[in-house]
Amino acid sequence: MLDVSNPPPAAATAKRFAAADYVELTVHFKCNLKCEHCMIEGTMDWLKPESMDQFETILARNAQLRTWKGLILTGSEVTLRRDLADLARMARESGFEHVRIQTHGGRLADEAYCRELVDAGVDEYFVSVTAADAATHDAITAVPGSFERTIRGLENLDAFEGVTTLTNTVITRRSFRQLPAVVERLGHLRRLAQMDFWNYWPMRETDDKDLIASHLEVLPYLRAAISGARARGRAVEVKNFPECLLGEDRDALENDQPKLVIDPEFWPEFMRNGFHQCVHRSYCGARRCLGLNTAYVRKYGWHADVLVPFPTEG
Amino acid sequence: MKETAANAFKVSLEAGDVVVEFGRMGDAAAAGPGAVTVSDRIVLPVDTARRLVLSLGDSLGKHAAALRAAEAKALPPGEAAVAARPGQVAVRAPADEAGEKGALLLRLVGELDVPHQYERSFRISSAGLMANRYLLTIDRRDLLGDPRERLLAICDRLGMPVALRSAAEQRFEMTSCAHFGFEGDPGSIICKLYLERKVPDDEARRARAQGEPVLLHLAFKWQIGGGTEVTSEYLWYPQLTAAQIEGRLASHVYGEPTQASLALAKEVLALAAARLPAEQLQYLEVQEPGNGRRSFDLNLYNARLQVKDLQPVLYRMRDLYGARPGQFQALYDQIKAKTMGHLAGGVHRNGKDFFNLYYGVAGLPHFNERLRQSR
Repeated sequence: MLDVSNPPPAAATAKRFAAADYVELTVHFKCNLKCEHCMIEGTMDWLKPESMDQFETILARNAQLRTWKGLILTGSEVTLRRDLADLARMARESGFEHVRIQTHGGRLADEAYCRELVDAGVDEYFVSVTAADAATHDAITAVPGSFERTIRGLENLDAFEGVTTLTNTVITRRSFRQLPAVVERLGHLRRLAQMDFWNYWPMRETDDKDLIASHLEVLPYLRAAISGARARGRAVEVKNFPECLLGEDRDALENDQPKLVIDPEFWPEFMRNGFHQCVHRSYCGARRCLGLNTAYVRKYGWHADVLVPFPTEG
Repeated sequence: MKETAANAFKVSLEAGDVVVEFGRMGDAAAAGPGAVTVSDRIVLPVDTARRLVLSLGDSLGKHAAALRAAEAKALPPGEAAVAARPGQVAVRAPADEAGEKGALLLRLVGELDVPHQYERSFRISSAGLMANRYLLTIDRRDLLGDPRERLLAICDRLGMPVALRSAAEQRFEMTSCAHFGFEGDPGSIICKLYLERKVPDDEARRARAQGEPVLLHLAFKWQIGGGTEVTSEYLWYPQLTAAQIEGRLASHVYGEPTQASLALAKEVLALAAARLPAEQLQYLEVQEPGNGRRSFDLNLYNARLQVKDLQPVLYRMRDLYGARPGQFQALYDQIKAKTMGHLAGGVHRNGKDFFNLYYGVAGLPHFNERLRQSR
């Protein structure tokens, strides 16, 4: 169907960090923060990180096939792994153009450690910033001082040529009102290329921790954050939010993830979220939407009062 | 529709579409054992294929344990234990009945395999905001076979009460266009069948000269599961001027307690009348024998307005009915660029003052100019 009043978003065409260009490898499952929204809390003690054999297999495979441009080292807090710089060096030597780490950034407050990682070839840093101020961030992470260390880490990275930073702020009941303020707080960072806003999913069928915020409450703050970040020249990615509700900002929705190499035991847990539920699911033309999840519907209902399906192409 | 049994399929990707070929293994005597006779080749856009996968997942959900156990037989014991355990199928939230019925009506009309128009709407009243509403329009001439039986068969699937069905059947001959309406809210699910007449020009001229209305639609409305069951008459007052429409709104639709709504209705009329003579709009009044409904329906297509052209009025509607600003904005931002269709309002059969706004009419499966012009 032609629907000229609702053209497909143009900004989606030029993605600097396309998910398909990256492979994500879980190499560590320990953390020294206790973020209340942690999606692998409760599984960290039994999920197994990928072995060095697996790591080397991926390096060898990519050296031969050039499937991916970038390697993402993740899991829990990978900077706790002592040989992280060695892993990065091996990845770059095998031909990966980029090595990214996912981190809370606390260890990056140590400038010498930053230099060690940068010298080893880690050129992209995906840093979790849970809120705009220390009180809220530290309450979410349950570790006093963590906000200051994260910010200092991002500022340290700002001094290195060739480094790119990305941030992620998980949207919860505690954080959503601060989303625009997070954009403001990080406004001074020169190397911050992309801001992510991942709407919390509880990895189970109920919101036991009462962290899921109503989409309708989140919406104005999220859209203000999107426009604020874009006004500063940042790319924005939103995950797990209904595409229709984002209106003219729907091009910010990007639910694709890089190929994730993780303990297969993770997936039964992930499946418990039960994505892709919506009253309009069977006839909505949205292409990137994860719909609602089980815990969300149980908490807030179906939002049939406001959700409008996209036309299909039939 | 022919039913084909298949026990084999092949999936491929061609030019961005997902192609699924179905067939039967063992039927190809000439080709020898193991050969597959392909019976159907289905080409699906990727998005449709994705939704097919989701629906198949739902359908297979009830067999999940048996399927996991069957698949696990091929695995080593340790892996089989993991693969066969429950929990790998997501627990879904209890289904929304209105969502399922809304999807069913869309599917049934789609299966008529004729061009049709699809127009969504929302209702705002003191009862709140309701966005799961739509209207589907079919031109009788496009329906092969017996149009009456084909359309009433859809009503049957949606539980149309016997007496209402009988009434619709008796009046079907008047039908030029048929419309299916759907309203799904947490309290009730209403389905509607509208039969629209083609009003001869001389009848419209006579009515205009005498200041009388002509019957344009008969609507048969029922609540799924029992409850509301009503026939509505939609009376067209041809070629009224803006002043005449205002006059009828004031004298026949709105009373003293609903002056604020009258002002909003007049404001929308003024917006449209600023674009073209009001005589080119279509003003209807709705009556339902046996209840106190007094409402109007103002067709605004010819004014070529967008929803956002009505923004100040819509915000006042929001305030009048006490809709939460965030809730209203969430809906408004999705539809503001859509074309404005028609505005209905007045006092509903439940005594509540309301507005219904129809927007974004579009043709399925392809835009049908003839249908559009026939409105």
